[in-house]
Amino acid sequence: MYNGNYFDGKTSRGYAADIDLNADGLHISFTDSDLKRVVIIWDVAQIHKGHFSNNQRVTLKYGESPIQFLELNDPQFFSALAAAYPHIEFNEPSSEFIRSNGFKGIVAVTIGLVVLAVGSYFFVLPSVAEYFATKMSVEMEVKLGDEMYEDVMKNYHIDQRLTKEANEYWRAMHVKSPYLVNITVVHESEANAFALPGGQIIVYDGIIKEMTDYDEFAGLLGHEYSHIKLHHSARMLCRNLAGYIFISILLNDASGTLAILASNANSLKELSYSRQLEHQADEGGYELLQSKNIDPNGMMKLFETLKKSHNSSVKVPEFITTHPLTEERIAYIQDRLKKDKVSYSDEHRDLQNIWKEMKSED
Amino acid sequence: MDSTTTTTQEPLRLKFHAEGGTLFGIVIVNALLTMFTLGLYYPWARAKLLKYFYSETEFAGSRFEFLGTGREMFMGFIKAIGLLILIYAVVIGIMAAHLYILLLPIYLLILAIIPFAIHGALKYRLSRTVWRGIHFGYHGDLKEFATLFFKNVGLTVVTLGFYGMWMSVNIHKYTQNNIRLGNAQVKFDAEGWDLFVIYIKGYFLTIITLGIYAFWWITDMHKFYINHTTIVQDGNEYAVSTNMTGGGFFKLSIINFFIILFTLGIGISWVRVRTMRFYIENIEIAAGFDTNALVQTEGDYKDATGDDLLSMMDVPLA
Ligand SMILES: [Zn+2]
Repeated sequence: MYNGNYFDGKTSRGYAADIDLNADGLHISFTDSDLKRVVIIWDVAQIHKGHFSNNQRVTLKYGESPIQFLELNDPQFFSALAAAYPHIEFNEPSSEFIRSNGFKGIVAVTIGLVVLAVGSYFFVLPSVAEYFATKMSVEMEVKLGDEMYEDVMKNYHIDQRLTKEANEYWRAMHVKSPYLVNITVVHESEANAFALPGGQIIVYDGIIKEMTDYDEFAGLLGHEYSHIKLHHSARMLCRNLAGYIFISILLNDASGTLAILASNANSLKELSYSRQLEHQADEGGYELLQSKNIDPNGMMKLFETLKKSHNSSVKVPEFITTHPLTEERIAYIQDRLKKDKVSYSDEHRDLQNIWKEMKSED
Repeated sequence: MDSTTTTTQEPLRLKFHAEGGTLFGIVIVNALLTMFTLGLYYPWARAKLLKYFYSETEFAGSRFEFLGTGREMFMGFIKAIGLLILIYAVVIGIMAAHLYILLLPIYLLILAIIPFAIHGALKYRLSRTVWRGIHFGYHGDLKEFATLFFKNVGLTVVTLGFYGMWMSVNIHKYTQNNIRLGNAQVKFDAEGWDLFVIYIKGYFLTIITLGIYAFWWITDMHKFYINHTTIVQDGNEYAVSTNMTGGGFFKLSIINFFIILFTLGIGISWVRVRTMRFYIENIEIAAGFDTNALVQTEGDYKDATGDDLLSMMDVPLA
């Protein structure tokens, strides 16, 4: 038996009551205002789920209007109640964790939330940013790419002759595209090339020197063009700079977002595409060559060339880091060549001639 | 030897059981959840806090209870946000169109929201306040209150602010006189002059004492509002008063200041609890008030818009 105060919900008068935890419910007995002994039985299922600020003090509410009330200042009562009716949940489940774990619960929840926040910042946010980059309009991509291009070019010397010929080469490939592709060849001894969003391809003359056959160059352009067509650079840029973008959106600075992206253009040549994106670009390049009736073996040769130059003294660090797993990529192309078994009869005199021009020392 | 009708009955007092550590826990969890939900959790955070404060306030052996829920307050929150965004958008539009002359009616419009917000907040908050199962309530009439509010604001503007004392007394009077504690009711009876005298005295003494008197000034203002309040029960009036003193308030403030200073602000929850305890536990209700005789009279009321508007506009709930 427990002692408590019973309120009937109609007045603020409290009745000193004896409470018994019986099988058919709580028996609350007290002497009413007419000095009569009264017993009220509460069906346990109708006791409101509630919160108890501590186990010293228990407040139970019962039924609908008027809601009856029971106040107890007995540290034993709550556990006795829970034990007597094990199938009934008296606490609200949501706050149960923190209540039962006290300060440790709060710390655990706090740490959990911090981990969640950090996790979202580093994993969810980049994916969201990447998703939005794929939804970027062509105009937006072109605008971004052009701004980045100006920024990037400050660090390079353009080779006018090779640039002109490389563009002629691309036009001779007759690729239909929503992007206006513009190739720029720059003086740089490394064997590297990279693409900006919206159609800009930058090729180091170092890589042209390494290549021997015209179809290797077609393979290179096919690969870089696929990066553009598949929005890879815009996606990776948004992904890597998701944090900055998020903050600048939070600060309500939309124009700042584009500026951040553009001013980070230089980081693009060091951006490492994921293995999956590289694979997609290889696949796209391969199919482009195939559709133009150019022997995709050119891509194969390109990779071999890169592998060789990697072993030689020529510096190729960036192309290797940005285009990793050369062995695996060679294997993939080999595999496709074997499967496709197509012979490419067209000699592509025009491409060969332009290539010859490009390789001739002035 | 008849001791049942003893004449040495004590006045009734409130007790505040909250603890800084517990409040700190609630505030931290609330802050984190509000942050990670980009503010959407705010109404639930508020409900949690109010529930905690109410449940730790005791009168005649029984705790208060706040029945409001985060869900109810969320609806109010959404409406309040919608209204604020609308006003914000209109102001931006006016600025963009360089029609600055239109800002005046907008300002008046914002002013016009205040009585609605006060009315809504009181109605919601009191309907959600329960003690021993008895619901409190606010019976003010919105039209009547709005009329009173605008009349007083008008007079205050015309008198260049001088009428401000009378305005705040009149508003307080109207709202307090419409508060019901079951079948008992709150009554506030004072005149603007009384407050005016306190104000003038406080103003000059604060200047003369280089600010020190400000603690006594604030105390006097607070005492003015509390000590002119009574509770009417079955035709009898029971005085409400506070034992707060300027010295006590000075001591409280100084210690609070050092707590914040030495804990680099982390102690704010303890300061808050100390301050609330100071205000709450100093309140007394005259002996004779029958804590057993309150009768349930209130129905349900569910609109929480006013409550959130008020808290957003930072208008203190008197
Ligand atoms: Zn690539």
